[in-house]
Amino acid sequence: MWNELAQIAPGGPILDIFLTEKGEQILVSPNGLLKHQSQTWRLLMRGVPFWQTNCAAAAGKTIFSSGFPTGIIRSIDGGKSWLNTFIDQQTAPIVNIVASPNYAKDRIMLAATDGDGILRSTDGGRHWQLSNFGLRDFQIVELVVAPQWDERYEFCIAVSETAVYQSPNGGRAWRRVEFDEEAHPSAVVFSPDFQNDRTVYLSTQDGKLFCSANSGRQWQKVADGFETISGLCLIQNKLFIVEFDKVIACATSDFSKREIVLQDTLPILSLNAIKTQLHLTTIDGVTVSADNGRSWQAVESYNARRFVWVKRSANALIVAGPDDGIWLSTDGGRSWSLLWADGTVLALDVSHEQIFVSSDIGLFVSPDLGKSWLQAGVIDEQMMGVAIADSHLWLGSQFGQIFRQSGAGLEPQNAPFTGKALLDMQQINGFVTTVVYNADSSEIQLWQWQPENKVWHLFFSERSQPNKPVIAVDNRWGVVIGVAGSLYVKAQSGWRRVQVSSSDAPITAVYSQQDHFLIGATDRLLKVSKTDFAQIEALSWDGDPILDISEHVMVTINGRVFQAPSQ
Amino acid sequence: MNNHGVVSQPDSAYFLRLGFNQLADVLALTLGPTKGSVLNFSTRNERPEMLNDAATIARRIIQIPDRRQDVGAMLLRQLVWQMHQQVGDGGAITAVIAKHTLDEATRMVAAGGIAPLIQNGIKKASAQAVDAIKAMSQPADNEMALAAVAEAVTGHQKLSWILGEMFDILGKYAFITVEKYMSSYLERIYLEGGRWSGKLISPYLITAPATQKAIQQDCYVALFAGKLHEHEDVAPLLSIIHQQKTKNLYLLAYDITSDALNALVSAHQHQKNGINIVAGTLNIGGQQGVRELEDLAILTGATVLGDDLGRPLSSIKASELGRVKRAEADKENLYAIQGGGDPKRIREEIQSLQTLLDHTPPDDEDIGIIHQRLARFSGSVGILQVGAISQTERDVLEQKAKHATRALSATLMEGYVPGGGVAYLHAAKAIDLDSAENDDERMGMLALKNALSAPFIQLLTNAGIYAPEVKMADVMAKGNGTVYHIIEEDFVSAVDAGIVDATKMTRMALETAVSGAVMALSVDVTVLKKKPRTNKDYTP
Repeated sequence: MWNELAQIAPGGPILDIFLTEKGEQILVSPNGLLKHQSQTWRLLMRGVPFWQTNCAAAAGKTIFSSGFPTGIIRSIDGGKSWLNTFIDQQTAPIVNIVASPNYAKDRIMLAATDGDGILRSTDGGRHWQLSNFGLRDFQIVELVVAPQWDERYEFCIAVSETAVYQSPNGGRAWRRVEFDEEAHPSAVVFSPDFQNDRTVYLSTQDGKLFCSANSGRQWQKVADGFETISGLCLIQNKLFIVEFDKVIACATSDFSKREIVLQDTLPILSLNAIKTQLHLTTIDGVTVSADNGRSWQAVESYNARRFVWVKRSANALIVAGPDDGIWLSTDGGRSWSLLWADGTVLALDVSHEQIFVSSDIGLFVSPDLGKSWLQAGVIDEQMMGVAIADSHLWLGSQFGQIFRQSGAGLEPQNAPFTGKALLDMQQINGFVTTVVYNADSSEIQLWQWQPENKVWHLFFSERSQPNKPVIAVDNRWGVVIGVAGSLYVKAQSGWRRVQVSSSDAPITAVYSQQDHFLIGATDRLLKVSKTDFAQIEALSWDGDPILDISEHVMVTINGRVFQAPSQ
Repeated sequence: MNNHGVVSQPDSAYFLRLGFNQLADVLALTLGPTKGSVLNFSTRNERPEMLNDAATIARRIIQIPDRRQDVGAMLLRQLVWQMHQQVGDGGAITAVIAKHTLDEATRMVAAGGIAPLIQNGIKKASAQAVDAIKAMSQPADNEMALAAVAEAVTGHQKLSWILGEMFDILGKYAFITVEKYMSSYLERIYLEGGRWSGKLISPYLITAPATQKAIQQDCYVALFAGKLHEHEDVAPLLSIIHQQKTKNLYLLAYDITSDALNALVSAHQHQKNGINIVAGTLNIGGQQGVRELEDLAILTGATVLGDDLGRPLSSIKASELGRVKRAEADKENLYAIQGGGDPKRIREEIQSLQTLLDHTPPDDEDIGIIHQRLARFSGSVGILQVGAISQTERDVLEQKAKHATRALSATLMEGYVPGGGVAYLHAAKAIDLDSAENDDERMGMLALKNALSAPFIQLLTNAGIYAPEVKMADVMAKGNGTVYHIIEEDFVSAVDAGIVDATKMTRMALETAVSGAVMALSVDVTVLKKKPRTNKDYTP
């Protein structure tokens, strides 16, 4: 059994929160859904086709979820297993899923997409079809349904960056409603007593608040002077307004009296009224208020961090995630210290005590395992790859532009793949290697720099989705590459493809050991013999999707770090 | 009676009025929410038919036994059917007003009035009443009013809600297809973009197995008014698409078979350099097919090619391709959603079709096609799905829905007035008898003024309400917006209770009834044609 090392830091971003039919609380994190079970938060989504979760919702006994790149999955057993749904051909990511208030009877569900409009299902979310009649723009940022639908009217409101659409018929057709053309709508909330008062509130990005007393057909400005409003919530005639990192409460009868009920230091991601409680999520926490915002209680002990790199250097263990910083342990994983928390980490490489970090705010290097940091250069483009090879620091931009550090600074290099999407850059067997996605031929390509000839050599090419392949160096085969469910090894006759997993559970990590490969196939840990690839053994594993394995250490999707038994 | 002959006054007028009234009395029973039904049982072999709309009843009555009376019945039948074709409703009201106008006018003639002058009086009063109806009219700018008009036509609440919603969303040029289902069902679908009757050329192009549709996004559009058989016919087009950044193609032609079809399917299935293809064939060819393709060309910005146009598909240039955001095809229909056509050109086409539609007689056979084309360009296409367990119920629902769609179109054009016959009462009040130029004309005006109370009285009579004249006096006293609610037996606001009628229907029923009554009044002689031979009489 793999031993779990000390938890690095609880918390992490929570996008939303909702209750199941049984009243169980579900947290929606980018890593998946978390459910509170036996005093701890457990990840519900394992082996699902998303590399990041966007949204989720419960309707009756079914839980729905969606994420990048696109698609909707559903679970009818509380999240133990997930089924794909049939979606009308569309490619945009789904950003919101909502159910009809009469779901038990009408089985209607709606989903908003960021680019393809609105999807509608009439069979409880099994099949989804585009329902865009009347929409004029298709990047939907918010989709809400009225808390009650009656026999005649089934009101829904969809908001795009520039317009507000109302549907009186459960999303069958939409009509653009008159609204301030200059304003950019941001959030909508229906009155809990909508059946009687037909009232809806709508906020804009420039801090205005509008009210409609006729189900969203006409709007009237009721307040302004707020900062950017990102969310609205209504409980008992009190409107809660989210302004980036604070929550302001106003009585719906008088918007001039404003009270700050919460001031956080972190951006707020959602504010929901669940029964009579307010649930607020931020990029690093969840808090609940049962007294209309007068006091707030933090929800502890969940872990929604995403560490995708694990590196070992000398006695140090380094774990890093794009939005969760770089962490160091020098005592074998018993304690962790934060080395870096500025900006989003795009690429990372470690060599002895040096750490190279490409982030969205520039390129940094630490010569002393994170004790001090130096800015190594500022380049307009985002560097998606960092590698130390050939005694040089190499950088690769998201558009395939290659830079090499020399005495004079960063020198741009000519490369045949410039203009293509660069997914990764690594040093493999001493050679700098780039991973590029060629959209024209839908191919993943690996290019290797040959210093003797000073040329880029196309090392590997395979038709695939634009997902980063996993690469490991091996003493027997040289290099092994994992793409989707297959492992590729370089034989004399060329690349040999070995199917080790299904496309539903793509390979997410490969590590070469003495006589076998250790493979993380999403939520499964496999041992594949190097001499006989048909010998595949599924190792005992608790099922959290594996993101990286290196030097007997493994990180999983919800920020857990494990060490191999032999260590 | 002779088999054929000439009937003169006074018999001609007498028998004509008898026949006119005979049919009007049957149709009058169907007026109002408590309307009765007519059971039509033509032959032993056919199942009985339950009818409750005047137009269908009138259509089923093709003859009455006495041929002298038949002339009058057929005259009224024609009026009722004309109303049905133009606005889909108002047949019973037309019959009731026509009958009472004729009765009143005949009474005036019997009292010594001069028929032509009485006719003038009726026409003058009619013009004044129509003006009053127009002045009363409210624009139908909300779903509630539209649903109320639909309910007045159908008597079916949920169907009316849905139709009200559909017309509110789709607008006055809405093109609504009614589909029947074999279970209790009521649903509506709004079609984004345009739909053409046609089919997908091969199941190998299907990309959405759940719906059996071929769907592609961001396609280049090629339109060909002809048949494609050879590989060479489509090869240049495929080559052009290969050179584009987005390799998605939507190809429509009259027919695609043989090597051309194989070339398209293999291009679609090609592993490395495939083109995503949706290809369909139209169900119609010839001149109408060209027109369909031309509509697609306007919507997508493509150019229609064709062998007859001197342009084989092999001569296509990249600049002749159109664009569409989403192309779909299945075994019955072809769809083009969000075409990349020139918006100005599309607006011009919509305006031209609107003008054409407004100037086309309602019974013209092309009106449906014009309406459909207009709806495609303006994105106003909807499908109403109605279902019932029995065939009879399904047919009734379908008919009701079709009548209501015409009535709602009319309502959106001219607005609505208080229903329940009240609009006619107020219109009658507006008839100024003092404007008559002589006593005979005044008699004619009075005849129509009296006749206009008939719809209200008939509605209350059908509901078995005692002393309708008293209710009539009360409703007039309460003002313009008040109507009598027959079910609740109370005076209510017309708009709040949803008791409203389309202005166009109200106006046209009056004009049609007056026209019929004046025509009937002017008849001096009827000529009966020789009775056609029946099988029984036939001897070789």
